[in-house]
Amino acid sequence: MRGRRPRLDVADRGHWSAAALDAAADGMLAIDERGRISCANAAAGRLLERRVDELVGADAHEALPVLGDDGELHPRWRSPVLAGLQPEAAPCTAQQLILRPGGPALGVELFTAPVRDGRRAVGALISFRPATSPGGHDYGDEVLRITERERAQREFLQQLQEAVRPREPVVDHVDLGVHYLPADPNAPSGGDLYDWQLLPDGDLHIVVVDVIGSGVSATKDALAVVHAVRVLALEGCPIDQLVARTDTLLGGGHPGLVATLLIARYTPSTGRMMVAGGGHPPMLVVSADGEVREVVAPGIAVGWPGAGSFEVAEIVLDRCELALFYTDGLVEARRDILAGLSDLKAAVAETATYPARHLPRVLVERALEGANRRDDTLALVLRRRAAPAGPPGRLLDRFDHRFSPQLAAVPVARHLFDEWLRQQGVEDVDREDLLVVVSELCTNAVRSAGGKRSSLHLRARPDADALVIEVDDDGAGFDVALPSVDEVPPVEQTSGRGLFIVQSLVDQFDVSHAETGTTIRCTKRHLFATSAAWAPR
Amino acid sequence: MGASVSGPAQGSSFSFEATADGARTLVALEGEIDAYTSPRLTQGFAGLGDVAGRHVVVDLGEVGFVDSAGLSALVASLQAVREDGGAVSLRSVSRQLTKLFEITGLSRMFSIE
Repeated sequence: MRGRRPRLDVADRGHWSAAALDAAADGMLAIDERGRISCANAAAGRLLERRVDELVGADAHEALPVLGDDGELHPRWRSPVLAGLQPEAAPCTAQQLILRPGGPALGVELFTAPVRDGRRAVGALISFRPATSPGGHDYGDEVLRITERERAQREFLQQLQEAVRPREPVVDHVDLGVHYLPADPNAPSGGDLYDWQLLPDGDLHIVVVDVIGSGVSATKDALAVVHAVRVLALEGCPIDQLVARTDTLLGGGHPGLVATLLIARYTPSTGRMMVAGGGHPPMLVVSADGEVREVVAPGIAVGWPGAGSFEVAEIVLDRCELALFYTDGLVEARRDILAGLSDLKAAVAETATYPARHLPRVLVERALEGANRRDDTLALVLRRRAAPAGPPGRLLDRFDHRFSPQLAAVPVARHLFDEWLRQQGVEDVDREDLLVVVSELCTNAVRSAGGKRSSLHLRARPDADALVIEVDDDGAGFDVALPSVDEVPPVEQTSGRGLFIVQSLVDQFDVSHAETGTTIRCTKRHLFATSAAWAPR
Repeated sequence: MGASVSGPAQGSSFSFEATADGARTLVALEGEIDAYTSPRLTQGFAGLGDVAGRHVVVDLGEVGFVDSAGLSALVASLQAVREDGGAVSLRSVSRQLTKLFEITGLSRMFSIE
């Protein structure tokens, strides 16, 4: 939500930085890891003959096309402007020629410096000035200092963000995922916040809050709201009164606080969800085949007269259905809120079968694609996982085949496994995912195998409503660290993506080493109908 | 899985077909792209010749299966086209492939028609 309380305190670090940057004579840009301009000063706009608000959000390579010695534009992958994003980049200065739309090419002294988080490039700073301008003091040093300060700030902010994020509850029959993108890439967090807690009775408590304002003070307000709601819920306050009680609780202590919110109480065993709101956009419920419906929970925001929920919506999530909570940054980035909501519905219908831990990020990426402004944006997904309804299917023999450790065996193994999955009656969406999983595991095994004949051993068996897949090879295993499943591999990375995909598509992933070789075991739950696993409504 | 897979015990089928159309080069891929077939894909793109100033449109409509080895080979080939001065777009990307592209964060590198 856009700020209504103007904050013009120049001593505030954010304002000081902005003012200092605008006072500089050199063009200065900050770009994110994808090369998108997240910050531009006034001089950058002047030199490029573009409006600063046009520059922000634009791709740096497109905004500063650099001509090579041959008079051709540098391709994106060799662009000097993006040099700071390269894996081993060091700060550097070079004379370059920038092509300006409708104007003469501009000869500049271009300085780029990476901003790192550990070893990973998370962005870069760029400064440039006309090559003919009389040499002042060395701005390179200034940019280096800013780079260093940015790095320190980022570290601090990351720690702050970690402290603010509630730990993900692990609950059977529930997949969760969340993605948050602050409006200002340099701010720690903004006014969007969420909470997910397992209540003593086994229900899940979920809250999404959007506070008016930005920066750390908005985060503080959002935390106050989230904590108040959590304490009230834990005390047994009925969901229909949570918004009003939160407003009363926070009333005196937080002048000016205005927060819209959506609160859900979800029972994992039955799929029942109650939703109460206060001035917040509707929740979306999406079926596996992409049917989307709005769940409106009307009410008045905390901090406004009459704050409270008008009524509580009650729904039951079906197997594989998901509930999507979000803040208005997700629907307002490109267009007005109604058009944005219809875009969001289309996007979530197309992505309804994505793993819950990645879906919120994908939705945020889709919503902000081509957007030239950005608000705090939060998306949170809950998917109900349950075995299919009905009586248990006919369980066939286990899948158990040995192959020579050659790449030619990978498609053979995959096709055999495909046949077997079809006979087991596994649904297409799951089957397609599992074929990718098996392909990755077999490729991985071939690559790390010692090479003995028939040493690639692929097994699969149903275990209650789950499918367990195991792949053995006779190699000594791989010494690469397993990728984090929450962190997308960098685009330039050429290996390690396979295991990232596997971990994204299965529920459990284990590697074990023995003298005879390496075994990877994956489990995908809730695939098969079993009489015990299905709890009728 | 595509109709090209006729039996369970067969290897991957894969074909690469390039047609020039004015300033465009249409590349039609068919079959399965995995570690076994991806060298053929890499070879196909390498054989396109001079792509400077050309728009390479890759039609994935007949691709029944892609895994990470296939993704990596495709991405590397398309980057090479760009580095050589060509433009790239993808067409008829299946739901499952879009899913892999988006899960791995690679989708933002390409324009999809």
